[in-house]
Amino acid sequence: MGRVRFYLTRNSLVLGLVFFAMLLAAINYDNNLVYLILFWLVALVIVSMVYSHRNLKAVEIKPGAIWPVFAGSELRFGLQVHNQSPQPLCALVVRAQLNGEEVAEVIDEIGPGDTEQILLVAEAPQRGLYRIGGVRVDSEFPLGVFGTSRESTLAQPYIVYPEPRGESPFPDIIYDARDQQSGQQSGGDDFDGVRAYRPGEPQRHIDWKAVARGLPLMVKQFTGGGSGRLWFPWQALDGLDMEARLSQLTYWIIQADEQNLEYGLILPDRRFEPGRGTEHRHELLRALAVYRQPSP
Amino acid sequence: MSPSRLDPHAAITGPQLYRLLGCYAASVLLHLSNVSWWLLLAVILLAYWRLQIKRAKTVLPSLFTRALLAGFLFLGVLIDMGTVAGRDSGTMLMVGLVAIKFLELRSKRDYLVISFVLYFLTLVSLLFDQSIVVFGLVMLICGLITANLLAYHTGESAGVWLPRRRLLRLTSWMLIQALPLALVLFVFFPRVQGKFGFNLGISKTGLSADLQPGDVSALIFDDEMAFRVEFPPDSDRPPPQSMYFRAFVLWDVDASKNRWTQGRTIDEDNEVVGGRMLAQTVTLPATGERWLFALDYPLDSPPIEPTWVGEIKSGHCLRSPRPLNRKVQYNVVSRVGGRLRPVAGELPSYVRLEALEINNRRVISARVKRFAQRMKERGETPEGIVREILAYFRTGGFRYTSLPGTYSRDMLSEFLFVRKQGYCEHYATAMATLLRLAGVPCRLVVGYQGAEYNPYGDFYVVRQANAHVWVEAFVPEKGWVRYDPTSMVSPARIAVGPEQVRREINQTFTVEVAGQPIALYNRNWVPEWMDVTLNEADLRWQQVEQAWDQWVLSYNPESQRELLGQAGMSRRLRYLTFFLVAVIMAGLTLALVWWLMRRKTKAVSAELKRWEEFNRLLGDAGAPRRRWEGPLAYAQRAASILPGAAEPIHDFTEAYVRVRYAEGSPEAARADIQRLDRSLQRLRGLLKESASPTAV
Repeated sequence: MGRVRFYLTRNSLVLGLVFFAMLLAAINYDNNLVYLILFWLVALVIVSMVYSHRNLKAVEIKPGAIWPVFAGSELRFGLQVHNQSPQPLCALVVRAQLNGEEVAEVIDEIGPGDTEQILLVAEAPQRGLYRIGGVRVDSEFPLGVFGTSRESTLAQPYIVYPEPRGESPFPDIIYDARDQQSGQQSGGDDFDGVRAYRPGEPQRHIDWKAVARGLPLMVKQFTGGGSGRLWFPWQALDGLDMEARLSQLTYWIIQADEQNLEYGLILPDRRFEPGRGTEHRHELLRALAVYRQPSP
Repeated sequence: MSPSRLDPHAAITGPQLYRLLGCYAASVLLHLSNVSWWLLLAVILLAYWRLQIKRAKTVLPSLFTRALLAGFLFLGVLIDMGTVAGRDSGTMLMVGLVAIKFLELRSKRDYLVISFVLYFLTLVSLLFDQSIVVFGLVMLICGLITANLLAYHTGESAGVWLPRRRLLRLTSWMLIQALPLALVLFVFFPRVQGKFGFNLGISKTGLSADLQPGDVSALIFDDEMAFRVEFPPDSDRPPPQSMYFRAFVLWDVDASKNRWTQGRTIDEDNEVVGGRMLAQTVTLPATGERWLFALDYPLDSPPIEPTWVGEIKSGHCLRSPRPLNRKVQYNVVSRVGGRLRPVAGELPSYVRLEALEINNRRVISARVKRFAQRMKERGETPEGIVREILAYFRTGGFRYTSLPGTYSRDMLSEFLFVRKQGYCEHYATAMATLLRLAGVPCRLVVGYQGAEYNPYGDFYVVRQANAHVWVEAFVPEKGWVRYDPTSMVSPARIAVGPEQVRREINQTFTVEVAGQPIALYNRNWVPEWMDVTLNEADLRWQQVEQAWDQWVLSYNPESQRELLGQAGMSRRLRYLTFFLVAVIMAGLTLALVWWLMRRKTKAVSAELKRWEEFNRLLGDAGAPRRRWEGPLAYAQRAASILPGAAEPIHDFTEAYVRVRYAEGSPEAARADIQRLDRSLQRLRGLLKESASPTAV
């Protein structure tokens, strides 16, 4: 965390004007009591600087959970704001640059030694690998007369997958030798139970009836009868431009993952052997997110 | 400057609004006597409207409505006060505008603006009244506003009616910590007396500049302090009944209205001879006028240096060079029992003309003129004429009363021959007119007679009820001689003071006021023993007020220069000194407050200190904590790196987590802190053991 900086705000100007008016009144009427109250208030503002400084000095920001998202959906970035002091911290505004967009969250108070979880939400328009740029904490505690701010050195990377979009059907399935009896890859009609919703997933399979009953977001899982091996080759999408290709590949991966199929990916410069599971899916999506046209 | 960054559009919660309205109400209560009733009614209605909006969650009035309200406000003040400028109108406008501002209170920005203006509104009440009570209230209300600002910036208070105790403690602490710096700024800020000195309005009480019968008697029930006089300790003071404090002299009389005015300034060359010197320190609340009070007769060049200089002007009265727009304190020396006479011996002819002039002489009835002629013939000399008139007052069946009833246009003859009742101004004006008709140069002197001694503080308080008018006639060889016709009629008024007269009046006029003696003499219903107690309390309170005035008023440019040894300094240098001192003191204050809070922080987080020590020990032993690691995860990892020390590591962590994160009694916390110490001790020992063999 960086130094605590002080800055003037519009409110400082207003109070400055009020103080000036008080001074004029004191001088014009030669009124010692007005002088005394005026200087008392001025001193109060000066003393309050120590309180402001302490308020921000005790802030520690730790990265919290961050979920990969698909371009075009909401990026949710969790932050842990920790109070290191035995006093409560008040009136904090945590701000971060997400995709060039400034997002802010207000924290009214953090108890001594407590940690407050906050969630910064921003649009994620473009695929790629990013870093959170400049997390800053602002506060006008205690009197709102001036502002204090403190920059965090936190540089958390996050990833935005390509937007899942495309019309093309799955390429041909290469069935696993172990599992020949099932000829259907798309038979996602058999209900196989529910699991927790992961942010960033398509909302198609959310169990809305359960939500209506007040339950948390759950996703219905369907399985086809069997599991085949799928290959998603870059070359199969000749007619499309690069971004459209990446979107189509992303869409396929999600589909395949939802149906619990085994799938692999072939990019012009890399090849991923078929597999399944969350790790595998993220690995492939990550490769698509950071994909760059190899230089000829 | 960047715009406010703490969400300026956050909505205001109900309790936040109620608290701010509370601060506003407190501030307006302080101005209760400074604003008109219609405005009070209006702001109560506006505040009620705002509350209804909050309760019913309806929309705030439009800009047009607010502008209309502001227009009405300006119009109302203009009609009521005749102006929208100056202190009085300004205060009323401010009271009204803040109420209107509440109608657009939506966001944090409005909230803070109102709070800051409330500071000012509260402070302005000190321009009306500088008493200790008002000052205390101003401090209290400023504290309340500060507490509310603090509450606004702490989240937990957003939904509570009253700020928590912790918040009030925090506010008090901040206010106390600000005091030393405030005092230093106060002492060092270069005072420029009357730099602008605009009269933006002061409260006028007491004497009016002109005199018409009825003016002074209206003051008899006014218990307000007119001024306070202190004499040097052990000085020889005249008895209160012969204390005549001179304020100003009335030269001109308009017989048609029986009205006396000061007329144009007349330069006299008078001297005071005889008597003995008596120094006085007078504390005088703002009157808006230039007259200064002093015992008869003040000296032009006092032998001791005054802290505040007045000049002897027309009618040998002490005048201030500026109108008194604030409470002042000045020193003056008088020759008590001396005589006032022209330096030339004889009255200069232009003064004589002035002292004999009667405007509209023809409206005076023939009977009065004949009476004056008779007095002149019987008295022969000026002194003889005076004696004749006084004798007439004494023996003519006159009665002294503050309720003489309404006189007809020909007041003089009605007073002298028919009704024969009046207050001091009736006697004085009648006597002065008769004297002028009889050819004796004379004038009226307005001032105060009598004083109330406070034995606790050794000073005298002169009240408005002591206001008095007497006659000064010019007697050849002697000069200007004071004649007080009132003493002929009501010796009690002179000897005992207005208090006694009030009693008398009360007995005489109970019927006339329809059985409401309280209205006349407000302490009438108090039992005897309580009267004594009240009197005692009154004297004690006077003493407190005197000490307060002493403290507040004694600090002026002269005493500042004396105190700071800046006598020879130029103004620029004084500002530089102030600036340097202010910067140094502000720095010192910051450092001091910082240090105070550090100490507190250290004292509270005993477990944090041990946790840091724990981290340092393990870090040195090769298991530094990763930044994101929590205590339990870290302990797990450290124990796997240093299996030999696993037991104290887990032991420590368990106790640490309990102290830090679990609720518990202070005793349990203390026991856990001890456990932390024991674990640290063991850990230290174990790590040293395991480190030494490798070193060997």
